[in-house]
Amino acid sequence: MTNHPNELDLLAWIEGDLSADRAEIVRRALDADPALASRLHAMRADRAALRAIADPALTPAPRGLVSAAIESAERSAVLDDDLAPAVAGRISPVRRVAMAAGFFLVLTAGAAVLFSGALSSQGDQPTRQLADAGDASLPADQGEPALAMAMAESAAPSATRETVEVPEEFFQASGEARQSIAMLDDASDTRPTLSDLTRSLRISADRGVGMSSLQSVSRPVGLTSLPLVMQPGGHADGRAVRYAGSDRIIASWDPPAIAETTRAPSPAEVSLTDAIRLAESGRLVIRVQTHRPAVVNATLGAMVGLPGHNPICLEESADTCRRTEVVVDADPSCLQSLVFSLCRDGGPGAFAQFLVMPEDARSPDGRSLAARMRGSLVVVPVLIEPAG
Amino acid sequence: MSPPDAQRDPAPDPSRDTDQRDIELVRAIREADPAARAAAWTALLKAYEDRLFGVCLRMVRNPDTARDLTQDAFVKVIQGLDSYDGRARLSTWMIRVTMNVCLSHLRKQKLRRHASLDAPQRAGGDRPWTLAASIEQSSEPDASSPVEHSQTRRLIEAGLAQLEEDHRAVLVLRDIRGLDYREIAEVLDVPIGTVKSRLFRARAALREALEQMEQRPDGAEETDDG
Repeated sequence: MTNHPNELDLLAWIEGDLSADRAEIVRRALDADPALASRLHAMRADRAALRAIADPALTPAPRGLVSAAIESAERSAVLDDDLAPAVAGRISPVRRVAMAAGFFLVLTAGAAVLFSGALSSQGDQPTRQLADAGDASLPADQGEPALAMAMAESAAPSATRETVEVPEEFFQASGEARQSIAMLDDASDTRPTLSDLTRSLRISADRGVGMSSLQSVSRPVGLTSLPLVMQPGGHADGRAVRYAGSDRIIASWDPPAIAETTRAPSPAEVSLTDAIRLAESGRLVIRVQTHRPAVVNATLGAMVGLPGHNPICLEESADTCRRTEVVVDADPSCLQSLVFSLCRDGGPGAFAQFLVMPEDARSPDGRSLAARMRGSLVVVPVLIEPAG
Repeated sequence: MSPPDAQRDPAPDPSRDTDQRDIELVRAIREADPAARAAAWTALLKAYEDRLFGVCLRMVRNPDTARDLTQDAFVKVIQGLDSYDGRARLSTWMIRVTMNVCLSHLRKQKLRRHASLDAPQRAGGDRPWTLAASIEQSSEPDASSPVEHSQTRRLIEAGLAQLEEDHRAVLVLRDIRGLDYREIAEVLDVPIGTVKSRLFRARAALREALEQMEQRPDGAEETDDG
């Protein structure tokens, strides 16, 4: 045993767990070297000071952290092909990029068309432009209907308002804002296929029912819901396919989405064009969500200075707002800026929701639905690939 | 406000009750129906959010960044629970995941800083977090919390921020999270001997940083994040 303290002895002295035999050696060494003694005493004091800032009450976690993490994990599970091997072969990364790019171009084209005043009542012209934009950006060998065609159908000039009879079963849970009415795969050993999903969506579209979301009961988190792009005729985009690769799917409908009664475009047939068109009957609520807080500010920055905007923070971080809701008039340039910002900076999973609040939503028995529901839900997710 | 003495000790090791709770929550996550699974996830993450956020905050000093890193860590915990084999405490495993996220962030930042040849930068609009500022904002005046004490804390916290990330990590784990050597070794994936050696050097480096700052008090507000 050496008579000189080593590094571990000195550490143990600072930590207060030096054995008795080594303590004597350290004591002698400190007596002989005042500078060392002074330094070790200071290090011991530093340790005490560090331990004094260990109080977790000084650093409480921000509100909403857990829910944001669960939501983020759920998104990752949906978007990560590794977690959805059943569909990985069906949607290649290239295809996903192409779909995302196509969707972005279609949105942009739609906004551009609107901005140039083509929205009004000429149906064929914008329809053709939208279709062209989509065709140019999507691969030709898709098994699913081309996005552009879907968009073209959506923009068809058949926006004759008519009241659609809402099936009574949709109102069984009166007072509930949301009601699950279909469980595509109750037995968890069989996975719903895309055709299951498509069939269900087609039925809903035929009945004039707007599907607002799919709830994915997927591993690892559990039950959650995410907005999806629902294409006319009940076709879903690639993200829905990935949903179908998760454990099972519960399709949900919002009763309010049923009540706003344009046969075409129905609330299920979403596009930027439709969002603006539907917004003419009410106010448009935009919700922006991204996992990058600065993007929310940057996105809303595009709207700063426009009158009547009053952003409401739905989820606060320490210094910033991670999820923001802003009510705006249906201004095409504003929406275009929003989409651009999200596409450019939003990161994977960023999306905006467009919620239209019609004033005349009523159930079959004439009850006004305005008090308990938001009206047609129009969702425009922005799906982009991670940089690099 | 100065915390009571009883609170000044590092957070105690998870008790057996805590371990038992964690085991039950993990079981619920793995076996329960989806609704119960979601509830179990929420309960588990809630139980650790303050602790893990505190680790990230001490590592990066910026609350927004710390929040993002904690969220990333939670996502990795969710995605990786299948790989958790139960050999380590769940709390240790979660701290390991969190610390890896923080260290990875800091190393990337260091690379970016070197690449740009810039001095330490702050992200646009980011406000450096200091413990002292946090205390001042969140607490009412407290006669038992003298200015001198607050200054000591400020100095310690700023000194911690000036250390290499490996040194900072071992001090955060040891003194602020109260882990023992074996747990630190598990978190950092190094032998116990390395933990001890690194801890001693970290303490020496902190002392040196503090002595330099005492001679140059304006340096106390530098931040290395962002």
